[in-house]
Amino acid sequence: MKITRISAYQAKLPYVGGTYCWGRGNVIDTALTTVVTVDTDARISGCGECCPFGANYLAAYPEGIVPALARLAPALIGKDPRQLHAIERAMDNALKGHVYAKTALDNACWDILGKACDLPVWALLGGRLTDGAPMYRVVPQKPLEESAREMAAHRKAGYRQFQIKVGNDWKADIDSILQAASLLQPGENAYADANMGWTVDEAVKVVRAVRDTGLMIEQPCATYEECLHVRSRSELPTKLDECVTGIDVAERIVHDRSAEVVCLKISNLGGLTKARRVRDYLIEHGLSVVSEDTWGGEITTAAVAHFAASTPPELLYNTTDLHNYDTVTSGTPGPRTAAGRLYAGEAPGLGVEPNLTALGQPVAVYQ
Amino acid sequence: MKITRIAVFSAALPISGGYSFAKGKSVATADTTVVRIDTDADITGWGEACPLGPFYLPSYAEGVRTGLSVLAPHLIGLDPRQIGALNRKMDRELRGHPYVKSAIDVAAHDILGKAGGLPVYALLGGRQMEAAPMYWSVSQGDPDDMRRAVARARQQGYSQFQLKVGGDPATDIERIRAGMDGMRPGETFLCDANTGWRRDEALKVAFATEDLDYILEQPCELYADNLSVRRRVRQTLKLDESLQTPESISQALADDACDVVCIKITKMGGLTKSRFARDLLAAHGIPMTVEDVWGAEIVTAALGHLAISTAPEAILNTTDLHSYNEVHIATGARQARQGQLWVSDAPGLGVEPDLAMFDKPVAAYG
Repeated sequence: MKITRISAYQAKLPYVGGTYCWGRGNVIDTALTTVVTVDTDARISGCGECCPFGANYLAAYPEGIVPALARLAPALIGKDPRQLHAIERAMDNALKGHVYAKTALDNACWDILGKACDLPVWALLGGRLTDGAPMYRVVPQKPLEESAREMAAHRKAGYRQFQIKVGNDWKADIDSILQAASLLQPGENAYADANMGWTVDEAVKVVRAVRDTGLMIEQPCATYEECLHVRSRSELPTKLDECVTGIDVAERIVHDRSAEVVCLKISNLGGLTKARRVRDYLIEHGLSVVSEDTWGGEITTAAVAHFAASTPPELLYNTTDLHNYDTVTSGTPGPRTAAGRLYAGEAPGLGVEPNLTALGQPVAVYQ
Repeated sequence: MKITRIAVFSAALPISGGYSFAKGKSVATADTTVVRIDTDADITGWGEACPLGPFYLPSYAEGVRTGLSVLAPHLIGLDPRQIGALNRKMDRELRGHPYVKSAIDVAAHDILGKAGGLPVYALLGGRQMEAAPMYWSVSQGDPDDMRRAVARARQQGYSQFQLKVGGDPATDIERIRAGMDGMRPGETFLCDANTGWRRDEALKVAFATEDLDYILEQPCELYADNLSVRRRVRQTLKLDESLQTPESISQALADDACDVVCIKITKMGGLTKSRFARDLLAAHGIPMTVEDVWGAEIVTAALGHLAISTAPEAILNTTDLHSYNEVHIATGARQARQGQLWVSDAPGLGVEPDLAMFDKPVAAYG
């Protein structure tokens, strides 16, 4: 089997809630997603999606994907997409770094491998260990009353885990965290995600003030070292996210025991091939993981769902239905969600096809 | 003063004889990006960023220009002399991708220098030496060819030589022996594997050439592997690809991971970040190669100013990157002769780009 053509599509994904505030004073209302399709001489095609969350969240920006594909795609034409490690090497030899730009291609090859074996991707990642991954919902940076209402609405929709967005104003953040803790019902869980927004001194003040809540704190500061500093001053559990860019960071987390939960964003790691290695390494060391990505539609969420399904349930902290944050569909069908859980289906591969109506004409084609 | 326009140009730089290094990588022609920043004060600044192919460091030529298409519009109207604020703005609009930001930061230094009537080295600590010692880089190839290349460079006045190894270990041992054959007193040799070896391969080469006095450079890809090798070999160790950020440099200092560090302006993200790393390492007594990834005359001007403003005991060498190319893009600034690099005392970088070459930008903003 050989890759015959690689096509890239782009579409705007407006946020369902209008304006999204994150971290320290960042605002976004629309993300630009890139969907890549890989065609083969065996009449099997695969798709992958990468949607950076703006240009300043991670070291990734949406406009940077297609020019990188101009380097990556020619290196893959004629190659067997099922040989995932050879594909990975070919991409890394063609362009160093820029793992976000490799994600969609890698995931599309997993899609093809699954279709070629008539197996869903979770079956190739270890099997279905989790049937119905618990999802969290974001409680955005908003005034306290609004946040309380949002939390209640998510509860009504079946979610049991709430990620409280903080990081913009450490004093107000303390109130947000205390409120969230007070609103939790039995069986529910909440944690505060600063998305790198605090300085170390602000973070230390926050964790001290909310110590009695016992709530987990996520990525309080920008760098791994700063988060380590905060952890040394905190009794609260820690989740790391944005700084988890590869296996080297995962090794530091294990060595330093610097987090209880590690967020694995597939495009931050460079696709399922790389993400799977990191996931397996962390669970081997007893650390819990979150399966997710930066942003994206149904194709991204399909990969997230398969990744979550193949993670042992006691070490899968949660996942999220990214496609439900957008008003535009990148693919069909979206992964099934019910009662706060995300399911990966039985269809071969990723089980999703690109929504060409929304995606329009490809912006680039390589053959 | 406000930035009124940012123009981005591209130029092909054929490399004389091509340039080959570890893992079979080779570049025949580099694709350089030149940035021109115009202001409302009639002062113009120039910067240049030239990745060495897309497979040496996490940077590539098209990526420079794509990143600039996202970044440049946010910089129009800003005061280019407020370089700290300019860097914060760039980091706020585009995370990571230091190679995209580098040429803007260099051009801003050019402008600040011209605005203040000072050469860029005066903004980086001041002139510390008349001229900076250069090394000549010998492309990876047949051992005898490399021996001859060293002899030619020696004839031109170079006394520091970098042999590109990082291929097959047995051949690399021959390359090192051949290249260093005829080494004269006072000369410095670096053997640079550009991440090409596994640990065991690095040890094999290092142990087999233990009798030779050279600096071993970037033997392996992973930091941990380099650290492991360092702890077992006698050679002095230099790191380059492992050190791309201030955090990694701090880690290397804490781990006593190396004795020499390579500062490359585009790798670090501009003169501001490179100067910071340079000052940190100088404070630790760690000597540096002060240079850039690749480029032509504007790159060499920038790296020359950084080199010349480095304390003499803190600089191992620099390099005249423009000399490796067959196309030249500017006059003015620096001269490289007899193994030494001079810089201009004119305000800014002191470089005059060939305006006929930079007539049609690939993109312009503002």
